[in-house]
Amino acid sequence: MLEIKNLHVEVEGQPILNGIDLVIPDGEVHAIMGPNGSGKSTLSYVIAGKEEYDITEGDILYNGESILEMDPAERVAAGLFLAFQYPIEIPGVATMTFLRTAINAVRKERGEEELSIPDMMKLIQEKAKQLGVKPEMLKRGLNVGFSGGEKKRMEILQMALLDPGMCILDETDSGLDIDALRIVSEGVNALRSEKRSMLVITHYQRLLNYIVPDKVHVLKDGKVVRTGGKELALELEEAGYAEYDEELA
Amino acid sequence: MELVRTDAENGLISFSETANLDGPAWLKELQDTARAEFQALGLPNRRIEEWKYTDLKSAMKEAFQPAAKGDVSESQINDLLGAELAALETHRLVFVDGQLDAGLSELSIAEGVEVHSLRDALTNDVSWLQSLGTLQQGTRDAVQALNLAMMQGGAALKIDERKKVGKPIHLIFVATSGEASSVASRLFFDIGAGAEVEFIESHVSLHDVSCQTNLMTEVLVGDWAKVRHVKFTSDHKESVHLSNVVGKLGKESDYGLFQVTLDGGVTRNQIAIRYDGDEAKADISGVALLSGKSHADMTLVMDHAALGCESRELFKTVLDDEGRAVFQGKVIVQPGAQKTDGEMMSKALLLSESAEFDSKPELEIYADDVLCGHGATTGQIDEDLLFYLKARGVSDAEARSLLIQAFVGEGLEIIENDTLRDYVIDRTLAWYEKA
Repeated sequence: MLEIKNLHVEVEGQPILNGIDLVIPDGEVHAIMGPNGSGKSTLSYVIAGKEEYDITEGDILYNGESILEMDPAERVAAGLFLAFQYPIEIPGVATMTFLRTAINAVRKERGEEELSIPDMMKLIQEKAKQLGVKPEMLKRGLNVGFSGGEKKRMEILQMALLDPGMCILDETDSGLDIDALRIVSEGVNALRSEKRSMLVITHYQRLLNYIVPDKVHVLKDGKVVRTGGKELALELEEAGYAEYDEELA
Repeated sequence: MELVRTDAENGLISFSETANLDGPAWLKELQDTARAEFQALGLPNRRIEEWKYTDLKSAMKEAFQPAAKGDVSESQINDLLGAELAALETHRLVFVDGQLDAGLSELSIAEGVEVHSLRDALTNDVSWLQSLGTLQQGTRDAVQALNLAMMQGGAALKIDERKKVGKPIHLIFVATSGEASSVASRLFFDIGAGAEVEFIESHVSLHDVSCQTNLMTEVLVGDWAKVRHVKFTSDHKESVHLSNVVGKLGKESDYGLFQVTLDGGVTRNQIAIRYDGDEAKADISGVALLSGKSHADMTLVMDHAALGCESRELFKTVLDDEGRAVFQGKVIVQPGAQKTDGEMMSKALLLSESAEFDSKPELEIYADDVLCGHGATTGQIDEDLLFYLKARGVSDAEARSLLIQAFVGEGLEIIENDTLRDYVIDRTLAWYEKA
């Protein structure tokens, strides 16, 4: 379970998040929607532990413990995973090498045995196949020369391999055509379980047709201004975010 | 004119006077001229444009005594090389304190490959050696002059036309002296038309003492010949390593030189390639990993004097502590050398605030239909890349190590030998863990 309590965050003295309260129980999928600049991506980075953000007030608890003092790698071992909006290209690091390093680092931190190379290869190839990640992609530099869809599939592959309890998907739909969106969503849905929660961040309702949330929160100016069921997403699709501007004005 | 010379310069001049290498009259003449040239020039200092960032006069406070040839066993050499290099299937040429050691070397490499120690070749006045020392004429370089005046040993190697040497030839330079000493040696390679050969060059030392090395390599690459050369140095932190590679490329030949510099004291790798035949290509690249106060200078001149030749340079440097690297690359396109294709790039990754990288690319183009470019980047580890890796559970230390590996690894496919490529990565990781 992820609990965000009265979270205030600043970047270089500018307030970005202004008191967010959010609880995501085990097994639930919550969506955060909001206009550009509402603080959606900041929230995802803060949960993952990116350094440049100052948390001036509040706390983030995962399974009852504060994660604010943990470094990003420790948070992953604890069970948090962020799928990036813009996965980064790292030429010179073969994707397979990177996946092996990440899996074993996480296993080690969790007190599990490291996997042997053959077991590792088997695991990676099996999951890759399920997500339609081609074997030649695993040989290339990480994300180098991958299409938008391939990059997002690679994110979901990493998510599947690192076996998180809490997945944060930051605008996973951006840059995807309808076919790619379907494949990625199927990959995400396959990972839904009673134990695993998800926070799906998106600007558009489209993604939520595929990954159907239990709850939808609307973020505006760094605050949750409304919470509802999945029907709220449809409402936003019709009316846009304009009404929230008026409400706050 | 009365020249004031430093103790080191006077020492070097006196060593060159006593370095009596037997040989034909032309050699003596060449050496006398070289000595006079060095006397006139002295050690290069920062007021000389080409040596602006590497002041050899201040780096060499004294001249170390030339090393007498010592003893070393094959198993000691294997230990010094380390398991990976020692296990490589190669033909070995071992230079003990600069002298080719017949017992430790494989002199009969194959039919069509002729190898002599430099001393023997000169004493016997081997006919194909007569162009020795002529490739560098007109350069007025004090270090090259000094090598010619002081050289004590080395090897001359000739590969017949169309001969393809199956295994790499491993040139192993071992310093055995327990005290600081100097070694001046020379390699002369005459690669026949259509021949193919791969060289690996290693420099190791039996004792943890400094050494002043002056190595000159002259290579004549015949038409259609293919030569690969990978060089490793990891000298003592107070050593001075001066290396010159002077090459002349024949028509449609293909030359590749990759240099790996790990720490050391002051290292200067100077390379001059002359494109003599049309459509020749050369790739001169390297990696330098410098910590402590190590200083490495890569200075190269690619002189395009023929039609449609190609030059590629990619240098990667990782600097920690007060490490300092210099890259000076000059591409010259002579009048008439149309369709020249030249690309030069140097990239530095700085891990410390006190590290320094100086880059000076130059293009001198006298033809109008050419494609030439250069670039240089200097930066620190990218925080976004670091965060991405950490957000996948990789620890900070391991993430940094991966990114350094990536930085060095990109472009390493220039080394065609898989084992050597892996070896470079292994050494990079070991260097980073130690730093």
